[in-house]
Amino acid sequence: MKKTLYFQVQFGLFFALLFIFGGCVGETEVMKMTLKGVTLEAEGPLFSGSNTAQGIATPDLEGWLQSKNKTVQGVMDARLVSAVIYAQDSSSIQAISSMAMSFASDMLEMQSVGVLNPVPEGVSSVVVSVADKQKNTLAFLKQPVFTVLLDCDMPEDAEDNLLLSADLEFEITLKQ
Amino acid sequence: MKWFNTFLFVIFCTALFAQADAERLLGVWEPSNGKARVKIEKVGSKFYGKIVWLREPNDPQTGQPKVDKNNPDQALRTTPLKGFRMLKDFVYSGKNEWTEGTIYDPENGSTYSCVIKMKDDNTLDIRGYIGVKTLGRTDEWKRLQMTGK
Repeated sequence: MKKTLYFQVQFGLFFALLFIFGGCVGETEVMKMTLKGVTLEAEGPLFSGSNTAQGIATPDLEGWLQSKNKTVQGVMDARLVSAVIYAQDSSSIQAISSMAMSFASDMLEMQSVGVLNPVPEGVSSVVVSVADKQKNTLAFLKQPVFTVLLDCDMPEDAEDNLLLSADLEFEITLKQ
Repeated sequence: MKWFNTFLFVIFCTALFAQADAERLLGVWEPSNGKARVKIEKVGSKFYGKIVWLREPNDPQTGQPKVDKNNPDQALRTTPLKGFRMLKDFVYSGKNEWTEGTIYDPENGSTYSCVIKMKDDNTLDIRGYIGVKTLGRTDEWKRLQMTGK
């Protein structure tokens, strides 16, 4: 009798906790948002070594969410899941031996978001490996603009500008 | 109206002077151990420093260019050390000081709060600390002088 009561209390507590935590977490929905064709440019002449190509991203997260009948208050998290870098002229990519991508803003701490080392040969576009830890990605997307930096290691000098584009895909987690 | 134009001119000149004062930090600097050279540049209104030269560019174990093998984020451990941004997010706070930034030590993968103080045009005191400034370590960095024409 005593044992049955003990198990009943335990079961009761278990379901009560499940109910409480279940209510707090709720169900989530994951959506994909892409910033296409962010222009990244480094002005030439460029010397061998590290050169930074940079550009401005304008995420307009609120507008994008509105178009999906969602609000920014419902966003729980965001992370960069894919970054594709390409150039009109494939030789631009081939001039780079490795690249590291960061996000910067006057309002936020710089965040390293990806790296590619080495850059494969004979390709016109590359996919950067994205960081596991991305504590500020949502904060960057909430900014009207932020700077995308691509630190490119170049084995040789180059006379011309380095002109690249980036397609950045983000996973946005929302409360349902 | 004339006084207003004068006022605007004074504001403009003050802002210009403050910017020039802050930008004295730009350039290539060498820590006291001479193992690396760091180029400080400006992105937006903040200052960042990246490694542009290493005395030993290759890892003696692999023979390959050194990478950030101690990065706490495993996905970023292939980032080359040459080009790595080890100084981040410094803001000029006046009186020859740049604050609110961090310094990364690639030898242990740790990031510390950091303050930069310019002792003279060619010397910086870089103080890395955890929590409070008194619990930290200061290193003297020298500006790399360009020689010849």
